[in-house]
Amino acid sequence: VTGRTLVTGLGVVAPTGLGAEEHWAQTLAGKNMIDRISRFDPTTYPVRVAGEVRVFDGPEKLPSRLAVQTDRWTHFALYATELALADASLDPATVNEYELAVITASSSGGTEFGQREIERLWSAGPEYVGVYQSIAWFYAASTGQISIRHGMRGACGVVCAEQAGGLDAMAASVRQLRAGARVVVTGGTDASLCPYGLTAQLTTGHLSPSDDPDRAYRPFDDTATGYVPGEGGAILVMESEESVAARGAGTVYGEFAGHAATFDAPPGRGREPGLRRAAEQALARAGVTPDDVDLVFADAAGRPGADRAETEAICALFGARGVPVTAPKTMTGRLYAGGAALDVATALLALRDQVAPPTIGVDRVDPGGPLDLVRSPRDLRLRTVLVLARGHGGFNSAAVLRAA
Amino acid sequence: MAEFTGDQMRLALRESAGVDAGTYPEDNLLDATFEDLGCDSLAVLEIVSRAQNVTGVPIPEDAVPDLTTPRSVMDFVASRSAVA
Repeated sequence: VTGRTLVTGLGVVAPTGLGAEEHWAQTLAGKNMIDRISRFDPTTYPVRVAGEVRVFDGPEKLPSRLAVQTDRWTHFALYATELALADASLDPATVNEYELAVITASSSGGTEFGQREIERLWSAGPEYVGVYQSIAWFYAASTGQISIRHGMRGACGVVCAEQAGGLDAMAASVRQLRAGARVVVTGGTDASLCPYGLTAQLTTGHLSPSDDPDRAYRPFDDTATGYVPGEGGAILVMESEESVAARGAGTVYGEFAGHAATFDAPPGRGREPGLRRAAEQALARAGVTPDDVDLVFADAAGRPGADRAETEAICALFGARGVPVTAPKTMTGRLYAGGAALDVATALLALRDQVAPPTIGVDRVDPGGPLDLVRSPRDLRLRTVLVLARGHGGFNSAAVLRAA
Repeated sequence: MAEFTGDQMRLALRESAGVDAGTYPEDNLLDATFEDLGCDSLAVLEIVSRAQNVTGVPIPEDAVPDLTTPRSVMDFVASRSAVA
């Protein structure tokens, strides 16, 4: 089976809203969803603003027996899966259970759940650590719970590549579709905005210490001070072309046409970062050239060095100001395993509506600089979109999406 | 004598296993089997461990398979506590 891989369902749980349409409307409105952390008192922490999912009532929507056994990041994934399946008008019971696969990205596992259990361990003793800790924290928990809940007994897996994981999970899904799966539930979510989760992230030194939600995350600005963390993500329903034709699926958002991943050399070797190569290979695998690309979703690290490296990679492929570039994640912060997954969902909505969503917080970036940043929604003829993602530690991924 | 009361068990079912009035009728909650309540083996372990922690009465792991209803857990605690 080598047919096209199509996306037929989107499920979004993000700071911008629940459901693809709410997320898309907020994104086009360019509304900054970054705010002071409210899930705990951040006063004594060096990072105090984040993109939180403020309105999530997923635990009430999920079976209570499942909700108590799982972390918030899995709640996001389970709820986003429900939305995605509904959006795809797909009842999993109508598909051979062994042809339904689940491959998600995870970056931190269940940190909030884990923190609660660690608190019990240290304050009350090991006998007070709940048994669900054994299944709630680990990276594959969301994949496993989605699989169990919907009777999806095909290949199941989890990809851990930090912020690049969302794209890599989708690439792994394509491989499963080529191996005979009909439908793959894929994407990624993250929810690490608890003291333990945030503290773990601080070790990179890449988070913005700014208290000002409007100034904290400003990629491609020479005075950028790091990125803002966020939570949420997106789950997608991916199908083989055969499956889509056989069941007469309604909406086809687009084709996942090509992907490549590279890994950076250790720092100090003087070698070019791998992002450009990832993008080049993804374009080649999709059978397109840079001239065919109508819009690029940038990784937008929010650190001057990393932003310059991305600018160089984009300019090496497309030339200076050679392609419109956007980073809607400036409204939500970086969502780790959920980040690239959400970018893919957003890119597919852009393809649907033929409009590029804006980048915010870049008012001080030179409008004549090497990147043609989309600063307000721009009507474009969109056929092919490139999504870039980098994960801490050297991960680079690129995916090419094409209008169906 | 240590006791794990019906109210404590209801609380445990709700908080530790997510079993609430919405998922099972209240009137015969304590005599329903864990299986009927939708509690998997981990959920039963969690409830047993909570009964242990609350009452201080040890419940050995090999006793757990015979504890098939909430009341059987309460009875086990009462019987061990009477022996002690």
